[in-house]
Amino acid sequence: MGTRTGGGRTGGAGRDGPVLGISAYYHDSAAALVSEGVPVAAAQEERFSRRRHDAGFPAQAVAYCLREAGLRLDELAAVAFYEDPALKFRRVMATWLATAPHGFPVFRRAFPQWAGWKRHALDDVRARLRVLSGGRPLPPVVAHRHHGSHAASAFLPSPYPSAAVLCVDGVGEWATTTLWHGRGTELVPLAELRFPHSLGMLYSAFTHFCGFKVDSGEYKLMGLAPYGTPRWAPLIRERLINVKTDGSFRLDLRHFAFQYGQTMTGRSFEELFGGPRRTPEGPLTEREFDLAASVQAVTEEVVLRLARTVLERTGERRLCLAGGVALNCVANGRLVDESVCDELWVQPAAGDAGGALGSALAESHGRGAPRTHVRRGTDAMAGALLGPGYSAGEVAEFLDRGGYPAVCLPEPELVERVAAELAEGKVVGWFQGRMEFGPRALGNRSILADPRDPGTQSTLNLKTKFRESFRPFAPAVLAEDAKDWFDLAGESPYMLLTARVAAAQRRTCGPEAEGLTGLDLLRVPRSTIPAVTHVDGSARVQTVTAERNARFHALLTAFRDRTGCPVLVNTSFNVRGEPIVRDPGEAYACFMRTRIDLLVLGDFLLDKRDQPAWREEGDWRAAIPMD
Amino acid sequence: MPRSRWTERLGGLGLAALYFGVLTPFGWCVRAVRDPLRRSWDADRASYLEAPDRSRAAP
Repeated sequence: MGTRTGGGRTGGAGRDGPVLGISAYYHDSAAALVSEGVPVAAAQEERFSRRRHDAGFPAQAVAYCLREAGLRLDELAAVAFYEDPALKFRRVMATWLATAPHGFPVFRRAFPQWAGWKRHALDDVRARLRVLSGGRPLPPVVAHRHHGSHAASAFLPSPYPSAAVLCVDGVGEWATTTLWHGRGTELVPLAELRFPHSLGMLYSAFTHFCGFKVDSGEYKLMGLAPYGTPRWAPLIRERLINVKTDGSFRLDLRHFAFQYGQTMTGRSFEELFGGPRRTPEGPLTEREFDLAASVQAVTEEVVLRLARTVLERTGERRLCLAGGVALNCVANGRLVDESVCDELWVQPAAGDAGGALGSALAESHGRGAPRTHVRRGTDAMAGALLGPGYSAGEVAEFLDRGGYPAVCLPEPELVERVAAELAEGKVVGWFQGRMEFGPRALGNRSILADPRDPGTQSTLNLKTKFRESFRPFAPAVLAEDAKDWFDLAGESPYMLLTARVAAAQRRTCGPEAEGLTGLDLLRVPRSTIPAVTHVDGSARVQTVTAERNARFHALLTAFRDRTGCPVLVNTSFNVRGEPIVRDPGEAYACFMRTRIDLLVLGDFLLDKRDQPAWREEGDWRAAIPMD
Repeated sequence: MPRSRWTERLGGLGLAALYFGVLTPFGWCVRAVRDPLRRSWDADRASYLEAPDRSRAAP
């Protein structure tokens, strides 16, 4: 059975074999290698180049994938590109025609790129692969559709034999929202919405208006929402977005500028919402809290309606999600809480990086690869641990080279020691195994802390992550204990669902909470695990099993046995603006630049107090652009 | 990422002439017939969902 994803040539002689997928040229470039329908390696280029959201050709990620698989380019069946550049160019041209004479500044900047190479991006991919291939012949390079790649990334690695599939993002070529029916290895497209009517663009417009960066600040807006009330939601529905019962919608483009301008919103947007946009890094006011709450409410409404529509149309009760809007874990949580679907699976790399994986999966299954994991009732993502790992020897060599004092401990002793330190309030940089694929740290490139301490959120935000104080942290919890700590019926292995902290752990706020608004709400502990409890009592949960991550599960178990609490703060191992650390050197630098107390590199434990003085040229903070 | 050589030769003035002299009037003609961006809200429609584009991606 082949894969029909609305596009994508599935190879010349029907040759099966490993397939490399590539996403590139817009944001979050990545490479992924799939063999017989199984993801073998995947990584975002930003982790190698150290440029956040790197959009360039992912040469280093490609090289890693080939190295991990022990393959050369000429041994691949095909290279799959995650979108159709020619179709995307036609959409860009159509937009210029539809919006002229507005938009000349964008035309002036973008037209030479499009005329020069972007519409022939596949030729650029071939040229760059030729460099990597060292003169050996290249496999065919084929384009898949952007939303087809998202749909493939959502359904094909899911544990479901069949499912409804919903993909919602900013825009691919034309589609911004697509509905599919996945069965076996096939994906049948059912319906779509097209640019410029985009839920992702709506959310990004408010992200921009609230002073955050587009394509990186959306999750900050989501984190801000619980501080506000959705008082602007009726105005948004009346003036910005017309939503039908089935969740389909159109935007009123008179208030937006993204379709022709260099900014997301226009003057009329300011008039609607009481003044100019918030200056980046400026003070947050009640207006931003309420705008965040309002657009979040509207977004959830649309996602829920679209989910009901695709489930109805397919007759399925299982739902798969991908596209950037699928990273909105609050909306995802509602899909589960309100039983919109019986089962939900969200691609951990739901954004454009996941398109590399999706296109590779679509090509692989299109060539006949089966979905063998479905028989086992598991997903095919290997816990999303698809990036590079470092052996004990490599770590030891790094430590010796730098002269960094460390002790090597067997696992039982290591987890006991780290659990003890965490229970005493220490912050631990935890670097293990293979790096995660996707935006979340899942226990291999993580900063860990005790969630019971009310001061942890502030300490981590201001002294370790150097990020905005309103941002909550997320918990990792032993899967077997999750239901005692969170109102979560099933699994959440990829930290893409929010759930309320369980009633038994919640604490009633006393008179000190009366009348508090905005960031003042942070001062009031709301549960026994305040560091991971948002101001509305919710948490973005990761459930951890021994099957997916044995060592992280062992650490959580040791912490639980010591404290009675099976939960840890799990935040990504980086500072604000920096990609998540990839190798021991980056982990050590982050450790030494911040207030992290202990660093664990595989089996090696490093104490900050034992380390030599950290010296580097220049101010490292100046070198990392704010996100 | 390489820019197109012929657009480099056009320069800013040439691009402006292309945009305002060719693209803009052509865009007006297109919009006189239909709106490629389907901007209007339609209270009479039950759904804005459209049939999927089933054409194949370019090789």
